[in-house]
Amino acid sequence: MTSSPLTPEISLNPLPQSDGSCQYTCPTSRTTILTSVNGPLEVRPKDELPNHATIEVIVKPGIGVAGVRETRLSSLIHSTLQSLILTNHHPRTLIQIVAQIVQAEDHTSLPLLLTPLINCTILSLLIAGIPMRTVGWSVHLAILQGPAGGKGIKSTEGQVLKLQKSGDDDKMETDEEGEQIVVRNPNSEVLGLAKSSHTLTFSKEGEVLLIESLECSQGSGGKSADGQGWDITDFLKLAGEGRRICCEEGVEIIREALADRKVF
Amino acid sequence: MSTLTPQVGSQPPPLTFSTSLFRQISPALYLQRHFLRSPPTRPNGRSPSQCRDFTLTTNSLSHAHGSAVVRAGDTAVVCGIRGEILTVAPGDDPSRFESYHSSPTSATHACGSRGAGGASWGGLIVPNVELSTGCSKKYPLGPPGGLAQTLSDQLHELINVTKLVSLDSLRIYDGDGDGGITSTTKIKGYWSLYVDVLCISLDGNILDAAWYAIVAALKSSRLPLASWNQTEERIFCDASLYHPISLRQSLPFTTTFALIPLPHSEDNGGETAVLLNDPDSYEEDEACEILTILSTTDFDPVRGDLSRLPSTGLRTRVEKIEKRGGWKVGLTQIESCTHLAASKAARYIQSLTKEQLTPV
Repeated sequence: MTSSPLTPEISLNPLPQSDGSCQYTCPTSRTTILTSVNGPLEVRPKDELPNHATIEVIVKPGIGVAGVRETRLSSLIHSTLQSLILTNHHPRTLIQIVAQIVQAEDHTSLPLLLTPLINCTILSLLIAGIPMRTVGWSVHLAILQGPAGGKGIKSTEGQVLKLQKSGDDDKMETDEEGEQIVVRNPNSEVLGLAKSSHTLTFSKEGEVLLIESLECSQGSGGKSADGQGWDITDFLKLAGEGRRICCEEGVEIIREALADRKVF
Repeated sequence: MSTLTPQVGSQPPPLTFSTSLFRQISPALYLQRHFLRSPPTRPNGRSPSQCRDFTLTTNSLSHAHGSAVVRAGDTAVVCGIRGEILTVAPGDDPSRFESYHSSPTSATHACGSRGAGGASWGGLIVPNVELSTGCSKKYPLGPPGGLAQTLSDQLHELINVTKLVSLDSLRIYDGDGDGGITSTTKIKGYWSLYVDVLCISLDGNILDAAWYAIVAALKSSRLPLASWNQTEERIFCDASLYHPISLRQSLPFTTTFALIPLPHSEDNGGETAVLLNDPDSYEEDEACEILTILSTTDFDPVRGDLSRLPSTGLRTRVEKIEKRGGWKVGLTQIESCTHLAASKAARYIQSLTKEQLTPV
C-alpha cells in the first residue's frame, strides 16, 4: 500500500457493521481518521426533507468531548458533501456520517484535520454505495517563504518535498520575496514554518468544491503583521497546481484503493 | 412548478399569485425572475455586486472598555470589549502567550490545550457570538447552535490569521509600563480581552458585520494603564490614565459572497448561477455556495477618493479565502470577487476613519 511517500494508507471497511467505512492515514503527518457511513436510514421527523435526503456529519475529536472546532469541521464537511451526494435519490431519509479522529499531531488545527477528514469521508461514501454526482479529493498545500524556511525542511523532510516552485519561472511578484516552496500534506512541524496554508478540494472534473486558505505566519501581531497575505495571482497559480494534484493523483488514489471492489 | 413559467408574448399564465405569496412559496423561482431582468436586480433592489450601506457607532456602551454597533441593512450587531487582567504566576511560562500560533511542537500543544473555542494560543483574545437574542426566527433561545459555534470559531481564527492586535500592547510590565523592556522575565501579567458579539437583528451576512464590529471596537478601546506594584505584589490599574490597544496599520476586512443557482432554462443565456455580494438572509437560504475573502487594501482614507474607486486599481493582499458548498464558483470568479472585496475594504476603512475623526 505504501508505494510512494505521498500515498495515504487506506484501509476499506474496517468496521464490518456499518454500511461503509474507511480508515485513512495521512502519509506525512500520520493523522488518522476513521469514518463510518450509514444510510439511507430512517430520519427523525424534525430533520426530514420532503424531496432530499438529510445529511448528518458528526466529527468526534481524538481528545475530550466535541467542541466548537468539531462543529465547524462537520459543517465544512457537510457543505462539501451536500454538493457531491445526489440527495434527491433518497428523499425523506438520513445519511449519517461519523468521523472519528484516531490520531493527530495537533488536535486543534483545522488545516491538518480537514484534508484527511474529507478524503476519508468520500472513500467511505463510495464503499457505502451512496449515489454521488462525482468524486472529490482534497489536498493540503503549505507555502514556505524564503530560503531559510526551505533549508530547514529539506534536511528533515527530504522526500516530502514533492512539489517545488522556484522563483525564476514565476513572474515579478515572487522575485522580490525570494523563492516559494510549496509543501504538500505538511505535518505540524512544517506548518509551523509555513507562511500560508491552503486546503483545496476539487472534484474529478476540476470543479472547486472547498477552499480553506489562510495566512499562518508566526508573529506577535500588530504592525509586524502589516503586509502579510498573498497576491491573488499567486493563489490562482497554486490553486491550478492543487487542481492538477486532485484531478490526476487524487482520482488515481481513489481508483487504486477501490480497484478490487467494483464500485466504478 | 411548470405552471408558473410564463409564456413570453402569449396569453397570461394560467395561475397567478401576488408577489408576496410568490416570494414565500417559491424562493428559487422568485429570485430567478429578478435576475433575468436587465440589468439584473435583486429583490432588495441592489445589483448583484452591490453591498448594503452600513453605519458604525463606537463606544456607546459605557461599561465596556470599547464597543461598536454596526448596522448593515437589517443586520445589526453590537460588539463589546472587556479587558481582564491575567497575572503570570512565578512558575508560568509567559512565552505561550507571546505568539498568535503557539509553537506546534510544544508539549502543551501536543496534549491538546483545549481552551474556550479550542484555543491553541493562550487565549488572550476570546471572541464569543450570541445569536439567541431573538434576532431571527431561525435561532431560538437556548444553548448556542451550530451557526453560533461556527461563527465563534471563525472569528477566533480571523483574529489569529490577521494577528490584528499587537500582543505587546497587552503586556503588563514590572515597573511603570515604559514598554522599553522586552525581556519576558519583566512581564507580570497580560490583558485578556473578551470580545462579545451580540446579534440584535439578523438578516444575512453576519460574519462581515461581526468582524467589522470587532475591528472597530478594538480600535476604539481604551484600557486602563496597569502596572505592577512592588510592595503590594499585585497589579494595579490607574484610575485616570488610559491607553489604546495598538492594532495593525493595514486593517483586514472580510467580504462575503453567496452563489444562487438558477433553475435550468433556455432564457437565462447559459448562466447557471449568480454571485451576490453581501447576501441577506432570504438570499442566503437559497444560496448553495458561500465565498468569504479576507483582504487588506492600500486605500488611503485621507487622500483617497471613494467615488473613483473602480478606476483606480487598488493593490490588495488576501489573507484568507474560504469557499464552501457547491461547485459553480470558478477560480476566475474568485479573482473578480477579490477586486470587489478590495473596494468594500476601502469603504470600511473610510467609515472607520470618519468615525474616529468625529469628536465625541
